Amino acid sequence: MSIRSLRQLGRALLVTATLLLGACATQQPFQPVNLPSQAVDTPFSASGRLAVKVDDKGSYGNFEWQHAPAHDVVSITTPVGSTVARLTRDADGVLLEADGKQTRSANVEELTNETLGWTLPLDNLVWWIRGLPAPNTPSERLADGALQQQGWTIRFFRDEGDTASQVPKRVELVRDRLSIRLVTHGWQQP
Amino acid sequence: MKKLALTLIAAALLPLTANAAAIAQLKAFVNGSKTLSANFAQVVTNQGKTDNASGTLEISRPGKFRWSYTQPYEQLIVGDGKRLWVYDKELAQVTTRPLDAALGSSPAALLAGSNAIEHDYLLREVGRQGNIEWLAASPKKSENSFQAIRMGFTDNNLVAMELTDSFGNLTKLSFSNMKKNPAIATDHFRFVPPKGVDVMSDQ
Repeated sequence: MSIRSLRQLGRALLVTATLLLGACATQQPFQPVNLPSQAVDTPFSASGRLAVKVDDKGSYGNFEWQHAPAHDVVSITTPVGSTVARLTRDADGVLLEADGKQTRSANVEELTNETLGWTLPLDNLVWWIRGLPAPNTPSERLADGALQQQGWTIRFFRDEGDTASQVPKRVELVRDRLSIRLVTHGWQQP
Repeated sequence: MKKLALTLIAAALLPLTANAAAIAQLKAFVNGSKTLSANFAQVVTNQGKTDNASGTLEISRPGKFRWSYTQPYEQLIVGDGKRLWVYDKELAQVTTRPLDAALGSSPAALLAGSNAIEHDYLLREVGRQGNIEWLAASPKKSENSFQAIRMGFTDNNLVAMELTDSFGNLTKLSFSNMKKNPAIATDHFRFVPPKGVDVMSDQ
């Protein structure tokens, strides 16, 4: 191989490497800055988009989540803001409103499993969306930074260059054939 | 004498019609724009909390549209005349479904139709606020995701839309930099999923 073709090869490799880096720009793993020694639940409101997939079937939408320790409201909306479904949890239980129907249950996991065919782990997601393991139940960190808890593998991501955010930009949950991916574009913590 | 009276009444009515009512402006707007481009700002009020987003809109009648959110996140919605495509770049996720099932559920599809608004909605004049003439559109069928739609016009241009869903949440859209009949490349109304993204289909 001539020196010239070696140079060309080198340039080509450099271009490839740059492209690959570009593709991973928003894929940096997120690590919580300060792991609280004692987990204290605090209110937050989050807006974002989520994609759910069971085998080859799935759904996608925008979400609005207002959380307080004793009260959650999660709305799934179209991009333009029309509500498709709303989940409300308080001391009385859980209420799902969708398609003009109301369904009640004792807990979110049962209700979503019965009505949607997949389980939304809301109790744990309250923590996972903040990049934290849920308290009072065993968890494990894998070598690549992923969290394992209650049968779920949870991965956290942040934007490249973003070291200030206290919460991850993107969270991926996988359990058996179910994957739930969330990206948060609005986060408020009073 | 009778003829004179009619002429007088017609003359008295003239100033009213010079200020074209909203339904007439809607018709002039739809008929006067085979293609359309605009910027939009969106404010969604959900449970007392507001969420802002903005982006660009392109339409080619009948039935093709490109509705693109650029702030604070990227989300692209393309109606190619047959299918609806939604692409979320950060989630590397594409969802697609037949457009007929989606018609009426988005303002873009509604605006891109030639007579969808008059065909599927009952129209009613609401009145004037400032320099905007408003109409209210209520769906003839209940399966539409919006319970009430208001459209505001100035000088035969759509300047604002307000959409209320069945949960009582309100979306306000305001349009700016609107151009009628601009040249738009046909590939803006086609969507090919980028390599490596997940594609979910509802058929």
